[in-house]
Amino acid sequence: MEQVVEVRSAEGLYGQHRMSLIRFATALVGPDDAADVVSDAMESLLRGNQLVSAESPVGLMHTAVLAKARSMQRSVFARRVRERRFADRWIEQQPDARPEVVQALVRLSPQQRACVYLTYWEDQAPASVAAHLGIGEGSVKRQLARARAKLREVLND
Amino acid sequence: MTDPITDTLRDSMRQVVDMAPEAPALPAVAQYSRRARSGLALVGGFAAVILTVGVAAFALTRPTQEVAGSTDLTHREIAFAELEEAAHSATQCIEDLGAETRPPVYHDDSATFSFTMVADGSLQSEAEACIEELFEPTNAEWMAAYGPVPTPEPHDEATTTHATNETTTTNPPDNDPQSVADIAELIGARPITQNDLELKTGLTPRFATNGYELNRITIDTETEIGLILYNDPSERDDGGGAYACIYDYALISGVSVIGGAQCAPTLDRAIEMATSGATASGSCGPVPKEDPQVDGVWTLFSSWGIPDGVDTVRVTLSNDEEETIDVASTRVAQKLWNESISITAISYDGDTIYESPYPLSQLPIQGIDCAPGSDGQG
Repeated sequence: MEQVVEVRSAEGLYGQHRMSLIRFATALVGPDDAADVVSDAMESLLRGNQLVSAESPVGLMHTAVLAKARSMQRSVFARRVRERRFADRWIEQQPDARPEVVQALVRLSPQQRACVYLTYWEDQAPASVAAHLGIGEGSVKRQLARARAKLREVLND
Repeated sequence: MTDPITDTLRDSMRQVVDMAPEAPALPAVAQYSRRARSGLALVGGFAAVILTVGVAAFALTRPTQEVAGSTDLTHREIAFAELEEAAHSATQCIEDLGAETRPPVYHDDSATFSFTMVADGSLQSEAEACIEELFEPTNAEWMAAYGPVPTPEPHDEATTTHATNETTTTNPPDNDPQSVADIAELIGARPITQNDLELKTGLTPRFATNGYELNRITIDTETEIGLILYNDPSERDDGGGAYACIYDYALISGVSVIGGAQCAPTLDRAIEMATSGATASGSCGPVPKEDPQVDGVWTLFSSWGIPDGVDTVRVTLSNDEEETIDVASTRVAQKLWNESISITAISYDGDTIYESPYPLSQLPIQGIDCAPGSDGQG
């Protein structure tokens, strides 16, 4: 019987998931800052030498991207600027985008946006989203409920 | 069948994905090692951000080992001081290249000096030249006088890998005095001035002033917790410099230290120390002592380290809500310890000055009050 030995490398892991990560980062901070967020996240992981030995490297990479995105968003002033820039770019590039929906979505917290992206784009179940983000399943459901509630307000107006 | 909100969210996420840029290349993080001339092991790692430009191994004999209990300087101490001076010169040379450096550090546990700079890796060869010209000659003299030189592990030439650990590859000699008792014998046998500590740690505290005398250093060999009590003859309220040295010494020696402090250079240093295995906490100052854990965290912020210009601390709570607290409030400590998942220090103009990399509740902090008999000063 042939034995399959998994050989992990940072390059291999990143190459396999880079598109997923950049999309994820775009959902969190917008296209202008997504590459920086991914790059910073990967640099942190490489410098910490954590990636290859991680139990769930995919989850770790997503967690790192989310952490960098949150870090970037913490300054209130900077966050407002990024939200506005993200929304402007979104509306400009996506003719079918509804401005009021875009405005509502860019104002979600990074964690709420992460949950929305993984749930509604990657079709992941709450348990999987929770594993990706290193949070509880209950938190995922709570964040999704809040995001939906905010969007419902917009759609009902 | 889906509802309108789900449809909207799916559609919105599709729009987001359509905007995604090209994924960046994997950041350049590399490490190399090489064997240097004259039996020295030079090990370096460089990255786009942090560059360890050299770690020179030399024979481990603590300079004060033979004179414990004496205040006289020996030839060995003088030679070691010259070695440290050479290390500082090399560091200054690296800074002159335009790089930011960390002070050269002597690692007792691995018998090495390390030089670290933060710069683009393109400065690496020039930085190495600084070390080879300004540090290695003195290092060679030291080794000739006080050898033997530990045999370094063989290194591959120009090995490249995607990992950076600032580690050395030399093994400490068998007679390396590692225990806390040894350290106590070495540093506790006589009063140590701030200048001694500064020389030892290679750090110049922001509040550095001469004249501090550490009048007692005791170390509990069971708990491996040290207690440093000191006098400030001038009674000036700038003890942070002395404590910066003390805690840096703790960081380097691995000794856990408790003591009081009301000011210190940076929060980063406190965090670095708290996560390094050395434990520092407690305070003799106006710090609530009811809860030692809160005390410890509070000390991190109130005593060590709200950086200059910080107005408020924003705490992100576990429910993803944020709360901004005035730094003067003791509630900061409780919030930090009990509920926070991350911390952001905000300056007056709204810029982010510091963000904790991990929950403070996971830091290995112990809070222990100063023992009776301390001078009660911060």
